[in-house]
Amino acid sequence: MRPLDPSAIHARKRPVAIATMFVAELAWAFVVATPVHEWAGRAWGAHPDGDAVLFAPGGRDLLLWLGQEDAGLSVTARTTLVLLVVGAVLLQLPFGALVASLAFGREVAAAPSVPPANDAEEAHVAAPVVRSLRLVTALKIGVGAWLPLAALLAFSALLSVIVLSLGGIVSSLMEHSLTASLGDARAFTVRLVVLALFAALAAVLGVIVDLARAAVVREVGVSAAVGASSSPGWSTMLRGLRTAMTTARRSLGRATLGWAGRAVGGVALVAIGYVAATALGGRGGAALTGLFIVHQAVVLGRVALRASWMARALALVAPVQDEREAKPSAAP
Amino acid sequence: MDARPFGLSALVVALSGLLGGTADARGPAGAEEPSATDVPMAEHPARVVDYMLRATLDPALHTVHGEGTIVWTNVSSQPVSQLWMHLYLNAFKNQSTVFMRAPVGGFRGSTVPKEWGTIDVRKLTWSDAGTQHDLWAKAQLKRGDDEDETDAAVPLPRAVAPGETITLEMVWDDKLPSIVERTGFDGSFHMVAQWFPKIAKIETDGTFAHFPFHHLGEFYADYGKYDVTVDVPEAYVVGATGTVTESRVENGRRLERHVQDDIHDFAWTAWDKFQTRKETIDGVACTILYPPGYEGHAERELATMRFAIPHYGARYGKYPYPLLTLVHPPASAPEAGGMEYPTLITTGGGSYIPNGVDLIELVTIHEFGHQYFYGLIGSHETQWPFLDEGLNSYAEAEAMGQWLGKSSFIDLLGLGIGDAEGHAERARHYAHDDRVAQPAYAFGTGSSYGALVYSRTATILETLRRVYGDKAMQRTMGAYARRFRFQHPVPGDLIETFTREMGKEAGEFLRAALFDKGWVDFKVEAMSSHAVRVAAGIFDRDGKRATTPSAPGAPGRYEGWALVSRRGTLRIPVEVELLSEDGARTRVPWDGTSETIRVPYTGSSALRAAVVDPDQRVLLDENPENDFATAPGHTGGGAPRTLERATYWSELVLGAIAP
Repeated sequence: MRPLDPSAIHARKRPVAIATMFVAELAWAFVVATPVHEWAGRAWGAHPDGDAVLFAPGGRDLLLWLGQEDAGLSVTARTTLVLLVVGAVLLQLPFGALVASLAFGREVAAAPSVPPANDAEEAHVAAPVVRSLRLVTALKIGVGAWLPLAALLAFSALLSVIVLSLGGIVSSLMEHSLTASLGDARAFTVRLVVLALFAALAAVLGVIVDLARAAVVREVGVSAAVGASSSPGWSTMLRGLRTAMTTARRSLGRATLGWAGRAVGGVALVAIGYVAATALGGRGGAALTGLFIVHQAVVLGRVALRASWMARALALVAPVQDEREAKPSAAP
Repeated sequence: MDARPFGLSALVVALSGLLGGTADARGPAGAEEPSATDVPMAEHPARVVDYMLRATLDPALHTVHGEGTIVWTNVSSQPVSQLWMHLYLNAFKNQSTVFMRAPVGGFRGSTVPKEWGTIDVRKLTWSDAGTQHDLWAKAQLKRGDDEDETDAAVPLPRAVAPGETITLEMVWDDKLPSIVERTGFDGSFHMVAQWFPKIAKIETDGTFAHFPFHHLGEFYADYGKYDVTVDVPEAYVVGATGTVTESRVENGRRLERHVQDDIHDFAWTAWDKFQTRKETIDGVACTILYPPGYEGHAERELATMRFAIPHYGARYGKYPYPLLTLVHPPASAPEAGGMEYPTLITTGGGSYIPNGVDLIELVTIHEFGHQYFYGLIGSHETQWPFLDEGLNSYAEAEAMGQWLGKSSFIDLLGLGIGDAEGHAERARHYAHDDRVAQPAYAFGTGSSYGALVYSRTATILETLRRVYGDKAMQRTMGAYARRFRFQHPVPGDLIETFTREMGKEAGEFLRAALFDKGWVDFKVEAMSSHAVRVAAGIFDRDGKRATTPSAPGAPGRYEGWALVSRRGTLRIPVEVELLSEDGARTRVPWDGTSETIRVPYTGSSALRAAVVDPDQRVLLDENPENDFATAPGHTGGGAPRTLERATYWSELVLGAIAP
């Protein structure tokens, strides 16, 4: 099993992998939604109109529901938060599999357990088996990459919190120091601009971490292919970050642009979801089913955009990683 | 004062995304129909006290030097041998004043000012028959060991007879506090309110309605004419109560003379950074004074006034003054915002408030409403705060609803929250804590004061509006506002007006809700239905005994009942909706006088569910979560919308935090 050539890495060629990631996200989102759903159901589910009352203009029942003095809100909020965090960590597995699929393509089927087809008919008959085996192989890589990916997740989350907190503090200090001379409206604009700069910095750092993610999965996949024993997650993560930094030095602009274009696309999709939710409001029946489909299409689109970006990230880190691997063997 | 609404809003905004879209009926109001126009309305108040004052601001020292004349008439039936004067600025003199030592948090003005404020009377004299009496020499500022100096007794050398008018000369100096509550300075911004020695209101029995300035209390005064000349540095822009009759610049100083009849207070502001916007609305010259960069806020405030002036005019009688000044204080002085004075109000709102969060509109409309419920209807704000703040909060919610529709407070991210519903939710948590109708200083906390005086009063009145109808409510509130214009009504006047205009039950509902901590909770207790069948058993008829066997009921005809109860002390009509399995809905009115009612049901299918108050008219209902029930064997509508929204937003969050 060899990694694909950078020019051959395309998300559009991996619909099954994208769908698998989407299904995994959807499944865990159902789990996350369960506490709030149960809470709403217990309070308003017996109403003949169900939870439609929570969406009624004026919001009396919504305010009443959220304003209850019992523990419902805090228990639900905490449980949801915990489930989100757990889900974020667990989803690194299907994410690793998705990136593995992008990085190795049909090559994941070239693992020793997948015999080559002898003719077209045999290939046709064996196709589902091959797809399943590809999925299993990709998931195996995902499992192997899970620890370094989870570590990268924690690292990037910490980095984002630090950068955004710093942005909050710096922008607030600037606003206060400029209020007297500029007036509070202009000083507030300065604050927003400074905050936006820090948010942009956090996004760029996120791009670098994504490059590291791509490098990590690619390395784990290559190691699995040659049957090498996997190195500890921590060192894999550090190597991934080093590769990402080298890649960033060479092509940070291209990487950032590649990410930004897709991010804008993701925001546009969310806007479509928002418009649909606003238009359909608290209606049930077919309207609710329609809204569910629109929302899931939005999420699927975002997963696809994410896959597309990771494909780009893989293409960017591949030469750097190949050079690094080639150096020791060329030395003798 | 203080129109900042319920504290749940931040939570609501935070969770709005989770819940996604709500349908809305946001839209402009229909044509305004004046109401209760047949009720006589005074054109002018009884003129009791006139102030002719001159105020000189030193913006560097944040002081005001004042001098002037008070012409006061004893309009009571008794001779008066002692005056009472309010020196409100002394509330900020030290931490031992009644204001500062009040153990109440949860409301505005809870911070200790960075710089203390004082008002020192230098001279108060009365020229009586050629003799000049120094009244201040014998004035008593403190009583016993109490350090408070906001309520001064001023003995007179002789009694002033009923109907007699006296003229007093006075000189005083203010040291403004850093903005603490309603008044003070912030940098070069000065909000000068409660700034002059003010004679307490005299009642008809010869007593004075005097009181120390309490943390939660406001004001009460007689009507009269104010003629005030404000003297500030030339670069300063002035906003003040009353029409400008004279304006000139001399020796680098700007002198503006403001004159206004038929008012009971005077406030002014001066700042060298004010921007100005003017527009005449419905014959009222509106001026917006706002900080640089707040053009958007100013436009929103003007848009609010374009609706509010004609709307309030139609509801509560035409606004009688030729001008209105709206002051948007700088963001660093928020405590100056959200306050009312005759013909001058202060609004508020930080640098960025998105369209869809109607906070600016709400504060502006609330403070404008005080031109009626405080200004024109001069009730005792400290003794009966619900009469101004409560009625005004109702008027605010009603106006916001008429203007912006059901989502009149928040209409953002698909979430629609109404102002009235916000008040109801805020009030619900304090319903059993205190009476609504009691003096401001009697409330245990600022939170209960705010929730009960503002929000519960608004909710009580909104309930009456929804139950008895908009026209009846317009008529009733319009009659009250007109009948007591330029008067000083008490709670009995309000209840009497409701009894007369809306009926005895409505009057009693209002009285119990205000004075007796009245509450109500409707509940669907149980329900049952079955196919109509012939009664089985042994029957003795016409001297014969016959046995009728049990038989299944005939399909297509069902009968049954729903048992609905009313808990609590308030009685109010309500509707019960019965829902059949075939989707039919039947409304049955209930006068709500008994504690329970068994509502009979007949229909072509079994009874599926029952809902009491399906249109949410009884906004005061303590627990709407028990307003419905589903028949045994049936399920309700469930919570599929919540599941859909929560799943979607979980996916988005997971996608964002765990790529």
